[in-house]
Amino acid sequence: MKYLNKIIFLLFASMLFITACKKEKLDTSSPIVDLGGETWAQGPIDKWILDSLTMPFNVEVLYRWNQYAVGDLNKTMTPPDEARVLPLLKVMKKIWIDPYIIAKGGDSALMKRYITKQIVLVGSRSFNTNGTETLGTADGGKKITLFAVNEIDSSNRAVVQRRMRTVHHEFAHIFHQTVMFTPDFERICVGDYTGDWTNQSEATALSKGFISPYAMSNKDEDFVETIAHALVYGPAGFDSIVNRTNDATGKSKIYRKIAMVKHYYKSVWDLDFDLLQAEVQKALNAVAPLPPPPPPAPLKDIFGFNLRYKSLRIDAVTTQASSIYNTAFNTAKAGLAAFNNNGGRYMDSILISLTTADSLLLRVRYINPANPTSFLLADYLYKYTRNADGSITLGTATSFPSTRTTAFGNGTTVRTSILALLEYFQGKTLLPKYPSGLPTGSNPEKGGLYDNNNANSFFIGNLNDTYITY
Amino acid sequence: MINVIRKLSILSLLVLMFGCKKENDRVFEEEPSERQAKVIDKLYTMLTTSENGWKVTIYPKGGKGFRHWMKLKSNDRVEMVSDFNVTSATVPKESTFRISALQTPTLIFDTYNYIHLPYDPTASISGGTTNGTGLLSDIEFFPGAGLVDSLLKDLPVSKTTLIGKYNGNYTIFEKATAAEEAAYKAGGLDKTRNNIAAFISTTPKFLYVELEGTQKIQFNYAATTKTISLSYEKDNGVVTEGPATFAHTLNSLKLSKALKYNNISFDEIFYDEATKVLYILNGSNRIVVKGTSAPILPLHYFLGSTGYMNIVAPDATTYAGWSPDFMARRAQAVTSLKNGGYNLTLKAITFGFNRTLKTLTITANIPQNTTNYNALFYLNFEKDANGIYKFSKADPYLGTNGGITETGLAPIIGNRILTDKFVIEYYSDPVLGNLGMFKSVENPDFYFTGTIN
Repeated sequence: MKYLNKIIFLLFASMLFITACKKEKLDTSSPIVDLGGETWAQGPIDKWILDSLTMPFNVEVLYRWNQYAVGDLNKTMTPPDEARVLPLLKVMKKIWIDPYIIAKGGDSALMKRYITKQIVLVGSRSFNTNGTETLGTADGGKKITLFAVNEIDSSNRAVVQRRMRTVHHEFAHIFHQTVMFTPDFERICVGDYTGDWTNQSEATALSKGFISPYAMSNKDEDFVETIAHALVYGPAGFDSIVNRTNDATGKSKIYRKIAMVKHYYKSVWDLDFDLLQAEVQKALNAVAPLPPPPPPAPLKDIFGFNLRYKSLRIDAVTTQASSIYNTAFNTAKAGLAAFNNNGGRYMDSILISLTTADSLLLRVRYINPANPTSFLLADYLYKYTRNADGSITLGTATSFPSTRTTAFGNGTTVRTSILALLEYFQGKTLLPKYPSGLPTGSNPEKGGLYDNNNANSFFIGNLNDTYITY
Repeated sequence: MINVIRKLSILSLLVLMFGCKKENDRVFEEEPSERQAKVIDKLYTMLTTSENGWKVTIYPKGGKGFRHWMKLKSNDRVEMVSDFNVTSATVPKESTFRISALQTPTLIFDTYNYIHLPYDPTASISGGTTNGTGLLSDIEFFPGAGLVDSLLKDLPVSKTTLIGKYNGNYTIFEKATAAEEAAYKAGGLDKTRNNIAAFISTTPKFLYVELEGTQKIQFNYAATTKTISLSYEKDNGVVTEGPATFAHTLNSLKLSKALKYNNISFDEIFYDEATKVLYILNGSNRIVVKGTSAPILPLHYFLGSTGYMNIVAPDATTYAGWSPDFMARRAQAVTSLKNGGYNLTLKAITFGFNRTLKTLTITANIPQNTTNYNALFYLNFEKDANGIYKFSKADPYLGTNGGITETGLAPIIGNRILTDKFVIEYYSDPVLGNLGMFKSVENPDFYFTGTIN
């Protein structure tokens, strides 16, 4: 009987388990909406993202509006305009992603591993309750969000630099969050970090050794701000920012920081920071080149009274002149030598100086062989008018007695001897021009005076930025 | 044996209890996710199969009203025009849309187009006053219970309302015809904007409608805020009906709500391009919007409120709307003040009203040689049912320099303003525009005007 009880008990117990444990089969006929993510008809933008970012780097770009992806359910924001999306993404790839690969000799492993897996693009601005705006945020290495995308002009160099600075800044956080940088970095500006960085000026920040006010907030921001500024503005740009302060201590602190950055990149990530920086600059110049410098001003605009170049000096032995000038010059030279019974005076140089708005000084420097170490000066005054085309029309050479100046007196004395030279200038309309058409940058710069009415009549001398050189 | 049976039955009961297969009782036939998938599918079909697109009307909570015409296509692209500005009204723009599951099926305009403009948080784009909110419009919409029901029952929908997700704007979607599509894409909304602007600029300044009989009901149209309201006299006061905001359509201004006057109610104001007439429809009757150069509502309803605080009688010997008696009295005052021992020159006299406190402050500008001075007098007023003013001295009555100028200004203030009853009304001058006029009731030969500000 006992055994029967046990058997019955066991029988019913097992039946209990069997019926109670009867599982319901999973009903797979009802769909789970958007399982695997939302989908939509793919267009050219989606294709580019798939080919250039998702497949190679496993990066997802969220540009079609999703309030949850942006993370703030209370802020009013809009999606980007379709036309802004690809230009921005292409710029990001060229100026952020590609340089890290090129600097690694084409090896994309580092980028693949650490690139933020989501890029979120918001079209409108993001306004904060305290009146400030946010341009970009990074979410623990997983997501970079860029705001005001609808305002990004991808051909505007300054705008591109500003936005890429944000991207490089956020990406650099991922590096130090993976492997921290040396504690010596923080010691450079120890005691100067402040939570009140929003009220600090750039001048204050630089003088204290920070590349920007934001860098003053803490050592991590300091580190990535230094990186982002260096990459995006290039060596020259970085230097010019640093040179906005005169504080030598501040400057040296910033340079010590950038040295530590370079060391960190090399020792931790085996990346040549200089090479990375060069690649970023190369990409930036391709995307948004610097405007070409304006052409140099023609000489006629900067040669004259109160202008940059005030006088022209022609040394006596000049080969840079037309034969017409040389003839006049040689005649005067011979005349001067014959002066005072072949006294043998010889011309050293001629100075043409536009000393007032309407009168020009012609100064002849010559030497009396009886006293070969001292120079004599002979001055002549020409009235002139400045024409609309920049040329100068001269009057006749006026001489004055020595009561005016010794030089004018000398001029009177030797006037007839060197008349040929004086008459060369009289009544001429001369146009100042660079001999080659452009300044050469030589010191002294060469300039010529060309007869407006006769292309075969000209002479070239050295330009001076003072009225009198002797 | 009985024990065995007993045990068996107890155990059977237990088995039955635990072994019962549970049944699900459902309210709907399908699973929630299945139902949602159906709604999304049918909503998508509804939106994309309107071959000539939809006329969408939204009156954002932050102001104004907008009409967008849009065509949603089955490749998730939408083409639209909008009455937001000249560009949006003349240049069709494409962008994308999708219907998302979220908590409830949501239509999202997920790349930028004209519908985002009033929503944009940058105030200079949306036309809002401060950054951060836009006009409290919407760019994500979900179907209400009624539409969901119609969709699941496969009922045809030609006009429906979708609800804005973040700001709750009830947004009307109405199927467009082929003619409408063509007109919208050809800049029809810009044509309406221009027609209305031309009407306003060619019609005399004060607009009115004669809704019942010949009483002029003031018709207030504001282009910058896209509002319309009515103002009229009732029970010795001014009643304002509205405002309602409006959106442009191909041939009318569509109001956010109906405006009523007695038995007449209207929510649309039509424009007849052929006859250049703006009108309200009452049944089949056209009530035309007209204009007049003189204000419709009496001045006394507004005197003492913003824009109507002061009537300024200028420094002149003669002026539009001044009676000979006033001119003579003013001349007397000029002489009196000149020779009164202080050598004062009478210039403009300002009558400043405060209708809440029922006070009138008279400021006479009385420079002495090159130094500027003012004389002030403080009065109270009562206004009767017919808008007639009676002034009396306040306590204190004499303000700065009041004492030394009281006698000099008596011909105007002491002997007339304080003693007589006055009608204060508009005086229309062809050159100077609408001035404010004081007319004595007891002495009809004493009347004068001033500019209103």
